[in-house]
This record gives sequence, C-alpha cells and structure tokens, in this order.
Amino acid sequence: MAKPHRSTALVSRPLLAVGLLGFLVLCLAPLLLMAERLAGDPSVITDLVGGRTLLLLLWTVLLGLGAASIALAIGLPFGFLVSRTDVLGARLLRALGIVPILLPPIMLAMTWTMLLPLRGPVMCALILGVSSFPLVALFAARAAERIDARREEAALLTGGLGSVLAMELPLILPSALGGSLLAFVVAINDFALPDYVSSVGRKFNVYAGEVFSTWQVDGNEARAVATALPLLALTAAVVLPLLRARARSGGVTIDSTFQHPRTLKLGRWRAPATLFCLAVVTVGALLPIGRLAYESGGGSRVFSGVSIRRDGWTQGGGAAQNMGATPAPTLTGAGITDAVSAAQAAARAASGGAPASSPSPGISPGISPARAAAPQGRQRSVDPAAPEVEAALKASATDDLSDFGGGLPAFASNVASAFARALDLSRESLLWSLLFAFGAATLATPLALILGHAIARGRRGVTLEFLTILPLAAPGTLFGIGSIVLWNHDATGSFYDSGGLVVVLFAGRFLAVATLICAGAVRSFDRRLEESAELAGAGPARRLFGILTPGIWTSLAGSWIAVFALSVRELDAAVLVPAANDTAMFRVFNAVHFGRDDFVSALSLLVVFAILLPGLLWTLFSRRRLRFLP
Amino acid sequence: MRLPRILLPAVLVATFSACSEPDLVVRVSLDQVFSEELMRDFEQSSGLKVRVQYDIEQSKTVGHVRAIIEEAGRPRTDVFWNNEIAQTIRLAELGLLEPYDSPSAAEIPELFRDPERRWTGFAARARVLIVNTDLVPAGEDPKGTMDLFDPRWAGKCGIARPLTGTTLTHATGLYEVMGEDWAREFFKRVVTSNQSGSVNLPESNGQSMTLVKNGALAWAWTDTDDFNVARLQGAPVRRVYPDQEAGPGVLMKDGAPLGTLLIPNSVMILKDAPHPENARRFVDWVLTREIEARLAASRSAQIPVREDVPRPAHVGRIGDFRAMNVKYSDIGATIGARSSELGETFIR
Repeated sequence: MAKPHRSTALVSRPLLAVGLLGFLVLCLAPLLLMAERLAGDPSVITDLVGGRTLLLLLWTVLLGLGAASIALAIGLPFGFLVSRTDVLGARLLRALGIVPILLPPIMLAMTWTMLLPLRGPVMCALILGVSSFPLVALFAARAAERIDARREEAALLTGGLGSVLAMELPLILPSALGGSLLAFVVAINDFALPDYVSSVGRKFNVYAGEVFSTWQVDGNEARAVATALPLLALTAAVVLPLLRARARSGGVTIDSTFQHPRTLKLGRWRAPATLFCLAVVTVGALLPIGRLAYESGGGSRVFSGVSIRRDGWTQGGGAAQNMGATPAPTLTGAGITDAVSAAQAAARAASGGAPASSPSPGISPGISPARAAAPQGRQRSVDPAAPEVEAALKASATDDLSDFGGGLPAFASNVASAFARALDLSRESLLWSLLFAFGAATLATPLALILGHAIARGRRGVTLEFLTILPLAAPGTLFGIGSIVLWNHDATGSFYDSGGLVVVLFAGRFLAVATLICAGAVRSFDRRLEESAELAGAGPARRLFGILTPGIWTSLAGSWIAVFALSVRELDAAVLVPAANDTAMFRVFNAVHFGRDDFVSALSLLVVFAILLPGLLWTLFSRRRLRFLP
Repeated sequence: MRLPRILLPAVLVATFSACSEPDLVVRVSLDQVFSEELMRDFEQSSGLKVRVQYDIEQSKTVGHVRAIIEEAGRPRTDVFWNNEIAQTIRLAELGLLEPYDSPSAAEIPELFRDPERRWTGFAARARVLIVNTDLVPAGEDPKGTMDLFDPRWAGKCGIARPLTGTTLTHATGLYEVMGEDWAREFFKRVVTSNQSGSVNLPESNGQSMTLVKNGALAWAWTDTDDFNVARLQGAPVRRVYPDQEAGPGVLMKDGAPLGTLLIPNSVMILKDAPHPENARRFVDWVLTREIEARLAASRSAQIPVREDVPRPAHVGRIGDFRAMNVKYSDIGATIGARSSELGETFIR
C-alpha cells in the first residue's frame, strides 16, 4: 500500500467554488444566521456554566458512552462475521444489519418498552446502542475486508483462527471505534427517546432536552442559540480526532498488489456465530417491523377468542378517522356513553374480565352481513340484538378497526384492510415524502462528490470535513428556524412557499452524510488515474465526472440512498416549514400520539418501506454491493 | 442513463412548482386526526386552495408559535387555529395579531373573547384525571391535584412534564391562582416525588392516556380529548374532574375547591396576513355553531362554549363542573417566564 502525498493540483478551483457555494447556502447560512443572534447578548454563554448544565451534560455524555459501548460490543463482531466469515446468509444479514440505523429510534422504543421491564438511562442506552450499531458494523466490516490475504494466511498457518482474530482485532478496532464515536454523536443529540423511555419511573433528562425547552421562551433567542453550543462542542471533541485519524489511515489506497482476504471458515463456531448475527438483526430490525406488522393485523385481539365484526366505518377510522360530516344529535339520558360502557363491559367479560351482562353465545354484534360469514374464533357472549350494544358499536368508532377474534384468516384480512386505509389516506403524503427525499438526495450527491473530492485531495481536508458535519450536529430546531430566517424574504418568497424549500432543507441537513461517504470513496480511489487524465488534458469536470465517478459509483449510490432514507424520516426541522407539513413521517407522528392502532402500524410500515425502497431496489437489480464506506 | 436524465428535471420541476401559491395559509395545532377533515370541508365549500400546517405532539409551541414569530417580518400565515389560549395571548402581546370581530362570534361569551378582538375562543377542553377502572375500584377515585402525593398512589399516578401544551398552560394557571411560592414548592415536590419513584412524568398528555389505558398507571392528568380517545378505543377508563368538592387530595383556594382548568381553542388572524379576506372567511366559518357542534361530536369531544350548541351527552356542559377561576390574559402574559422556570425545575 502506498501512502499518497497531498496536493491540491487535482482540485479544481471553479468546481470547489461551486461546491462551497452550495454548502454555504444549504448548510452554513442557516446556522450562521442563528449564530448572529449570539452577538446581541454574548453573556448568555457564560450563563450556561452552572451546576445544572454540567450535570445534564454529564448524563448526556454517560448516555452517549453507554450507547457507543453497546454499539461497539454488537457492531464489531457483527461487522466482522457478516463480512469475513462463512456465517449462514451472510450477505442477507449484512444488508439487514443496516436497517436499525434507518428506523426512527422511537419505533424501536415502542417495541422494546413492551417487551422489557427496563426503563431509564439503561434502557435508553440499550435502544440507542442497538439503533446505531450498524455504524460500527459498517466500519468494522470494511476494515476487515481491507486486510491483505497474505497477512491473514500467515496468521492462520501460525495458530489457526485464534491467531487470525488476535492479529486482526487491533487492525479492525480503530475503525470500529470510529463507528462507535459516530454512535456517540447520534446518542447525545436525541432527546425524544430519553423522555419517552423514562415516562414511567424516575425521569431521565439529557442536555438535548434543555436545548428544545429553551426555544419555547421568546425574547430569549440568544440563550436558545447558546444552549446548542455545548452539544456542538461535544460533537467537535469527538468528531475532530476521528476525522484526523480517518484522514491518516483512510488515505491508504488499495493498490494493485492487494489480495482480497478469503472467507474464514468458522467450523464449530459457525452455528453460534450465525445465531448471534440473526439475534442482532432480529432485535434491531425484524422485531420492531414484525411487531408493527402484527399490530396492523389487529394484534392480540385477533387471537384473543373474542369475536366482533365491525361495519359502517367511514374513511378509514382509527387514528385516521376524524369526524362525521354532520353534527351529531344531542343525546340525553341513557345515551352513547352508557351503551358504550355496556358493550365494553361485555367485551371485557368475554376476554376473561367481569361477567357479561347478557350471556348468549355464538353471536357477533354489529356485523355487516357480508362479513358475518368470515371465519371466526370462539364467540363472545353478547346479544347483538340489544339496541344498546348495536348503538354502542356504531357510535364508538374505536381507533382500531380490525376485527376481534377469527385467528389467522381475520389477521390477514385486517392487514389488507389496514394497508388499504393507510394507502388511501396517506398516498399523497407518501408521494410527497418520496419526492422531497428524491430531490434532496439528487441535489446533495453531486455537491457531496465535489466536497468529498476536495476533502480527500485538498490541503485543508479535515477542516472542511468538520465544517460539513456541523449541520448534522446542530439541533434540528436551530437548523429549521435558520432556514426560515434565510429564505423568508420578498425576493425568495415563491421559493419559500414551494416544495423547493423542503428539498433544500433536507439536502442541507444531510449533505454531511453524503460528503463523508464520498470523501472516503475518493480517498480509496487511486489518484494516479486522475493525474494521468490530467496529463492527457482532461479538464476538472471531466476528471471528476468522467474518471472518478465511474470508479466510485457504488459509493455515490450509497450516499444518495443514505440522504434519501434520512430525508424520508426527517421531522425536527421539517415541522417548522409549511411546505414540509404533509410528509408521511409527519402523519405517523400525529397519529401515533393517540396510541398505535392498525392504521398507524400499517402507515409506519409503509414509511419503513419508503425508507428502505432504494436499498431494496439496489439489492434486487444490482450485482454490485452498495458501498457506504470505501 | 437516459431515464434519469428525463426523470430528474421532471421530478425537480414538480417539487418546486407543486406547492404553488395557496389562497389561504392556516396553522392548526388542534391535532391533525381531529382537524383534517374539517379543513378539507372548508376547502371544498369555499373553493379556496388552503395550505394547512399541522403540528406534532413533540413540537407543539416550538413548531407554530416560534415559526410565526420568526416569520413576523414577512408573514406567510393567515390564520392560526390554536388548540389552547395562553400562547395566543403571547402572540397578541407581541403585536402579531390583527383584530377582527367576527359576526359568527357574536354569541360567544365575553370570557372567551379578547376585548380588542384579536382572538376568539371556542370549543374548550378541560384538564381531567383519566382513571383505569380495572385498577381503581369505583368510589376510590383520586379527587384532585394533591392526590399526586397520596402514598396510596405512589408509583401509580402521573402528570406530563409541564413544559409544553396544555400541561404548561395548566401549570402557569396554578402559578397565577395559587401564587408563585406555592406553585414553585408544588412543582419542586412533583420533581422530588418523581425522583423517589412515586410520581411518573410521561412525555405528553397523549402518553399519559396511553399509560393509563394500558394499565401501566392507575391514573394520570390529561385533557378531555385524550380521555375521549381512550374511551372510544374501548379502554377501561373513566373521567374525573379534579378539585370539585372539598376533601382529601383536593386543592383548595380561599376555602373553596380550585376547580379544573378550562382551555378553549382560539382562532386569530395574523397581522399583515397575505390573504386577509380569505382569512376572515375562514374565521367566520370556524366560529359557526355548526363547527363547534361538529367538534363536540367528534372524537376530540370539545366542549362548546355556547350553551345552545348541540352536543353528545358524554361531552357535557361548562356548568357541569367547577372551572378554575383564572384570567387567560394573566396566563398568556407570564407563560414564557413560567416555561423557563419550569424547564429549570424539571430538566435536571
């Protein structure tokens, strides 16, 4: 491996100017406009130094360290096993291993808090660690793949698999630690998850919650901006050394003498290793997704033995159901509430609760005739002819419209109807999400290529790389408000009101991710090819797009997909911008407020599908492996 | 490569142009699941193209109020339909609202109207206790604010942190009615009780409702709309209006029970709104009796502020329970400072 010398000869100044201008407008300007508010009252920075702030920061750091350690403990062996060994289904497991980082952590939390009694900081660190282990796994896997076969064979001959692992661990560990530092950064910026996970029991507060809370007080803008500084400083403290280390080691290009290592045979360890990888993927991805699928079919109610068929729903019901088109009549006396209570009492009685008021087995109330013939499980004991029961079932449009009882056939039917409703009500939102994400990824990727090239080949690469990460490390609220301040002017009014602002907002938020991927890819690309093209008279654009791009196009696809996926799930900054209002993620969070029902579960799965869609398409139609790391 | 070359400009053009200039921009903080159909109906009946900006539980005031403040130099919003009142008064005090005396509001009690007509209240919610009937036998319900500290409910009761939404409005109301010192001590005691494990602090009223519905908590503070959702979901719950009659757990003020806080929706036109005429049309429409009746009959079960507006029996009337005697203008004037103080109390 040859260590390249650094020179700026390959970096085109006009192209770099375009890239920097794009970066300035998309990413830095909103933050600079916010930073300007600090100038009005710089004393707020000193106000931050206090016992409460320090304690919050301490908790935040501890949470970050916990999450990073868990991510390292899971991601390092997982990344190594799926990339280098003969575990069963390694390729599929490797692809599935990316999924947890693409899922909103709150979705993991909703599943995990149902399955485990743990709460507070431990649970929080566990969820964030599992959610971000793919970052470690990615780094570990790529490091493991870059170990020369000859070196490995020598170790194998010397002492078998044990020697190989002992030789490789020090080589992989720095990269894996790099991944865990990124997991740390992700963890310290999350405030919704700690709040959610400590809803029962002692409250667990982190510093990011303080940042969010401060924004609520007007006339205090300088302080609100200042509160973001400690998190930015923490991020810088972690990321800068990582970038420096990456620039040193990541600059190594795999040359023509490099021999790809062979797949390691695990022997009797193959089954346990496969089980470990399967467990990781199950816990991090399959379980939350499976739980959503289960609930979209009605969940435990379908298998509870209580059988109710519902009819007369309007436009989707559940969290999707809003209100009737005409005013309801005034009810008096034994009105709706009594009837509902009667029906509920009967339903609870049938599932083993209080005794039913009017036992009459074998009947399903509130049934539409067409559906009454559907297969059902054990019947509940309620008189369907009782007017109060019928009135209750018609009036009490429950959030979950799935049928009760009926077992698997009813489950399948519920799943189909829940997805039909979710699609019917949220088709436009899904399309907007896809459109915005497509635009953001398409805008960010070429810019990321230019910036990534400048980072890898330029003189002040680490500084530029650090700057590109800032928007990602800044709180979403800060970035969103900065975008309003930047774009809400008469001259840019039309743009502000259009979907274009959403594209720009998402691209600005996630350009950092694309740039990191591209910079790594460029570093691994043999610079001599670019130099040869330059000698042959190829201009900067031709070298960048004609020589470099074909060589790293799998990484470019990786960066496009990463921006796309992150844009689909973005919420923090988007919630402030009018045009970003009708995205699918927005709709999920609005509906989930009232508890998950079949509609919310189906919609969540559709969002997950949208997030994973480009990756799935790639896996199906491309023979090349997608690269997020060089 | 041909397809992407054609597809890319098409998608970008569609993205940039699809959100074309609307006839009206409305920010709505009444939950989307409740308000969306109403907004669609207005669009259909008026023929106007309306852009609606909803919020999410997590963002609440940071979302709408902050964006309105930031947009003040060049307002892009015509109407703000707020599902509470304190932040509305904040906006009025910042001079961001345009007075409008809607004819539809003529019979709305003055209590719910700004004397300067910058905002109008309608369709209220009340702060209530949601009680799990499987866990709390009838007759043993909690009765009021101070039940949070009753040892028999240790670990089984909850109140959302008063940092956003109606819980913040409620907390600010307590400051105003009970006095600063009392409120400060009370909330410190809530935090201490949480640290000792006896009081839980869910992330929102919605989650409070979910935790009680699922039996994780025996009871918690929430709003009437959240309670109604649990009721409609068939959950084993009942509603208790807090601080109604003197007794253990009940908060008293000047020898009488404090009552519960009533929080009306409020609607207002933003100063220098880009579409003032359409904004007035919308305000006239939303303040009609029909809309208040629909909100009452809806899943959010809002309580009409006009006595003669029809409603389902379970919604009740404002006189059915003792309401906290509080000036909304006082709450609005101090909510910013209280929010800051409560943040320091609860986030530590």
